Order: sequence, then C-alpha cells, then structure tokens
Amino acid sequence: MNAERVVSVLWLIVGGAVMHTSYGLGLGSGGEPGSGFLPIIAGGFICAMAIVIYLQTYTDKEMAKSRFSDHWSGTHWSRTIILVLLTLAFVWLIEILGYFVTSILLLVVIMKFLEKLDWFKSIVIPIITVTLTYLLFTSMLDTNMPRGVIGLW
Amino acid sequence: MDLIDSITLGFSVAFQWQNLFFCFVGVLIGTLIGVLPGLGPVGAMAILLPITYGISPVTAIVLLAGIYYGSQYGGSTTSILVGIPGEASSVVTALDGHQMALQGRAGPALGIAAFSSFIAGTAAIVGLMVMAGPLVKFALKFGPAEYFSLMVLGLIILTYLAQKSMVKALLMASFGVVLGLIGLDSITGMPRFTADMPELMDGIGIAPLAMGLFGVSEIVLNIERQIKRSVVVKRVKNLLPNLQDWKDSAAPMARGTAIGYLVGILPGGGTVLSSFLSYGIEKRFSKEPEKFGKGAIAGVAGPEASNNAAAQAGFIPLLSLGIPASAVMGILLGALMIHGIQPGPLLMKNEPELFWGVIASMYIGNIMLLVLNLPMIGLWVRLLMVPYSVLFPIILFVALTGAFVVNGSILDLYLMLGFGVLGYFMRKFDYEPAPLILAFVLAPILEISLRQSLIISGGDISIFFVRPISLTLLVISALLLLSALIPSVRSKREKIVAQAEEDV
Repeated sequence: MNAERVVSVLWLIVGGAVMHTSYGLGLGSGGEPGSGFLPIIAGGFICAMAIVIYLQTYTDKEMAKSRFSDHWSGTHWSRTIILVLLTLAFVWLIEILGYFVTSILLLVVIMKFLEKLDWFKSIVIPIITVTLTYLLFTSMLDTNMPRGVIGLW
Repeated sequence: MDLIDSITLGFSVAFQWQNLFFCFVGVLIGTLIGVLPGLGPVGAMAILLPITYGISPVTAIVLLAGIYYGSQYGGSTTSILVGIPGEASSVVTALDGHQMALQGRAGPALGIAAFSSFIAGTAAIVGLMVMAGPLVKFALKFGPAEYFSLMVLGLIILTYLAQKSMVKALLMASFGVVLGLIGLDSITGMPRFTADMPELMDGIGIAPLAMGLFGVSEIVLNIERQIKRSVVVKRVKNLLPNLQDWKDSAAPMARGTAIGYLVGILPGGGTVLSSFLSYGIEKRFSKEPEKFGKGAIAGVAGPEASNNAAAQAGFIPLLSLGIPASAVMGILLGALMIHGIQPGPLLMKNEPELFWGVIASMYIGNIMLLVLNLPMIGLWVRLLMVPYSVLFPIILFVALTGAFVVNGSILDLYLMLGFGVLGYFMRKFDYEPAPLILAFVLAPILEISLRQSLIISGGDISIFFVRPISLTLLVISALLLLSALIPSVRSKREKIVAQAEEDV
C-alpha cells in the first residue's frame, strides 16, 4: 500500500467534510458572505491539493515508492506509543488524583520504566520539578490546579 | 515624533526593571533551548505563552522575542561543540564549526559565532528601525482589500519557500485556515466546527495547537530516535578570535547580514533558509572553497550573521503590517492579540511604548546574549551533558502544565496531545507545520478583510483587482503559484532545497 496515497485520501475526506459542513453553515451572497464562505474555499483547497498529491504518487518517483514500513524502520516506535498512552492517562487521571500526584506519577513512570534511570533519580528529579512548578503556579501566579477527589493537593 | 525621540522612549521603556528582568529571562531561556537539541523556539515560546498572560503586553513581547533571538545564539554552541545542530538554523554552523572544534579551535569558533550574531543582530535592528517607519506610512493606505491580498501573498510566499513539497504546504495552510475559523463567527454569531462543545465556542487556543504541533511532536519524534550525543569538547579556551580570523570573517559577516536581513523580511524565508544561502554564497565566493567543511571560519561567520539578521528582520512585517512572516511571529501575533492589542500599521502610533520598547530591548538583549554566551560558555557545556532521558519528561511536563493553566481546561490538554500526534504524523510524511500555524493565526483577519471588502463592493470581487496595490500583490501571488508549475522553475526550486540539504 502506498503510504502517501493513503494519507492523501485521508486529507480528501477531511476536505470533503469541511466543505460539507461549510455548506450547511450557509454561504451567504456575494455582498454578504455567510459563515461558510471562507471555510468552503479552504475545504476546496484541501481537496484540490489532496488530489494533486494523490496523482503525484503515480508521477513522482520518490512518492511512488513510499511505504508505511519505511517511515518507521529503524525507529523505536513502541516508545512513541507508550509515551502517548502515558500522557493520555495523565490527562484522564489529573481530575481524579489531582495535578501534583498525577504529575509526579507521570514523571516517575517515564524516567524509571521508559528511560530506565535509577530509582534515586527517577524519584528525586520528579519531586523537585513538580514541587517547584506547583509552587510557581499556585503561589506566585495564583492559578488553581486540579486537586482531585482526595482534595489534598 | 522623530526617530531620536522614539529611540529615547524605547530605551526608557526597555530599561524599566521588569522589562530588563524579563528580557534577561527570555534570552536565558532562548540560549537554553537553543543549546538543547529537541525543542525549537516555536515550541518553547508556545509553552511559555501562558506565563505571559499575567504580565504587561510590552514585557510579554520582550520576553518572547528574547527567547526567539536568544535561541539563534544558543543553537550554534551545540552545533560547534557536539556537531549536532541545537536549532534548524544552525545546521550549517555544524559543518565548519564542529571541524574547528575537532582541530582544537572551539574557542575561536564559538567566539566568532557570538560576535557575528551580535554584529548582525544589532545591524538588523538598525535596519528594522529605519525600514519600519516608511513601511507603516505605506501600509496606512491599505484598506481591507489590500490586507486580504497581502495575506494571500504572504501565505503563497510561505508555501513557495517551503522546504519540502509546495503542494503539501498549501494543503497545510488551507487546513490552518479551517482550524483558525473554529468557534463563533464574529459577524453572524454562528458556531462553526464546534461539534456542539461549549469549550470550542471561543475557538482553539494557539497555545495547545502550537505546543502540540511543535513541542509534543518534537519530543515524540526524538524519543523514537533515541538521541545520543557526546560532547567532544569539554573545555573551551581562547574565545577571542585572532586578527587573521577577523580578517577572514569580516566580509562573510557583512554579506551574511545583508542576506539574512533581506530573506528574514520574506514570509517563510526565515533563519534556516538565510543561513543555507549564506553558506552557499560564501563557498562560491571563497578563493579556497575546498576548505569549506574542513573548518573554514567563514563558514561559521557568514551563516551565524545571517540567521541572526533574519531573526531580527522577521519582526519588520509583524510590527509594521501586523502580518507574521514565520511561525514564531505567528505566536507573537497571538500573544499581542491575547493582550488585546491589534497589530498593524497603527501599532507604532497607538502603542509607541510597545513598538519602540520591544525594539530597544533587542539591543539590550543582544548585549546580554554576548555576555551569556562567551564568559558563561562552561555552564552551557555542562548543560549539554544532561541526558535527554532526564530533559524530555520535564519539557513534556512543563508543556502539559502550560496548556492547562491558560484556561484551566482539560479539553486543552486533550487538544494539545491530539495535535502532538497529528504533528508527529505530519512530520513523518513531510507536511510542514509552519504554514498551518501561520494560516491559523491569520484566518480570522483574512476572513474579516475578505468579508469587509465584499460588503464594501456589494459583492463585486473586482474590488481586489481595481485597486492598484491589491492588484499588484495578487499578480505577484499568481505569478509565484504559476511559476511553481513551470517544470524548469520547479526543478530549480527543488534544486535549491536539495542543494541546501546536500551541503549539510
């Protein structure tokens, strides 16, 4: 499967969806352009460019041989997935456990298990970093950080 | 107000203690992120944007601007000492700078990089002062039609100068326009693309978008590659270049400054292209081109002067026309708007303290940078030894915190992560994020000027073609677009990009 071609089809779908929604918003008239006027032009451009890219995958030598596996060969892509999932878990947990605890957890897990640092560094660096940031935002900049259901921090 | 009065006003603002302090913080952070590979100035500025909400607009821009030009200085340190560029704009500095370091001349390489940056940066600020006034007078003649055409031209030049595919850059710009229009329509009050989420009524914030596309995606890409770097040179001595070094560097420095200044004004030109151009020109002009790549000091002086001149010159279109020329300037524009300041030709008249204060702070910032980068070089060398496995979790954490505190919204965190993942895939497939972010910032202004023009003309689109300035701008845009389709020009454009990559 040609990777560039697949990506261009995805953009075509995005462009099509933008045009469809823009049409629903109303294009207005020439003298009084509606809410959908500029978005439909932008959506049209997305579609047009996606079609050009699609055609280029037949004419351009480089693009013709683009494979998904080439883009990820020799990389540690599993680390990417783990990091994204960990960050997702952070966002999900922040309202339950609170900002302080969740942040320390995130940093400890990344440093210890993803980066394989020793326990001392994996605990001390997160505690110092999070405490300083927490104090900066709550005391100096007067921001309310989520305290979680326990409500301690 | 004449120029002398304006400069005096500027310095009186820049010397206020909070501006001095935040200027210092800005250039310090700039040097820091410049030195550290893996986070560019756009990502860093986006991450720190929320912190500027609590300070005055002048101070905020002084801080953010300092991060930007500071990063141009810091990037060269890593290029020279490690051989890996700290910033994209110091890629070429690594070629000869690192060779010099390997030959035991790290000191003069760092020295000439800092002095070139200082001299070029300062010269470009003078150019900025001289050029801004006349440009503002010219821009005051602009109506909505001219503005619309100018923005179209800006976006077209940006995509024309895209490093990879122009078609992909155009697609990114169009997608950026769509993202920029999310939220309530300012004229009809109708919600657009909000998926019925009340949080999206005000649109997507620039902070989660820029942090995701530039910050998070960079981190994710880097951990996949597992950056390993070794500092070759641990001790740096004799930072002052000798007389011969100065003789060899003077002309490249002057040419680099001129190239940087001219390219920096263009949308999308920026620091990267100017440094490549300067290197190419120096190599061609040199009597001993074979020395390039083997430690020629001209190969450090030219590009370093060029990228700093370009960094300063990039402020010209933003401060005089309200049009950002790069993603960095897009963030600055976003920051101005967050503070309720309408950028444009009236900025100089309505906000002279901001306009001249920021410019004056750049002089001071450049002097601070010289001090930070030369006597304190040992500190940066030590910092380079901090492993990425410690740095990236902290950068990610600061980004998450930053994205949250803007609105106290969890949705912003999801958005940032989502844009981070999108940015990751975009980079994999050579879709550049810069046109997207710029179009995102410009979209609301673009739409208003388009609608106002059409309302004024009663729906007649000839308004864009009968007004001479607007017509000229659109003709240039069309010529650029068409020229990209002509095979010989296209291959030349691609050759320039390829040449730049080959030189590396």
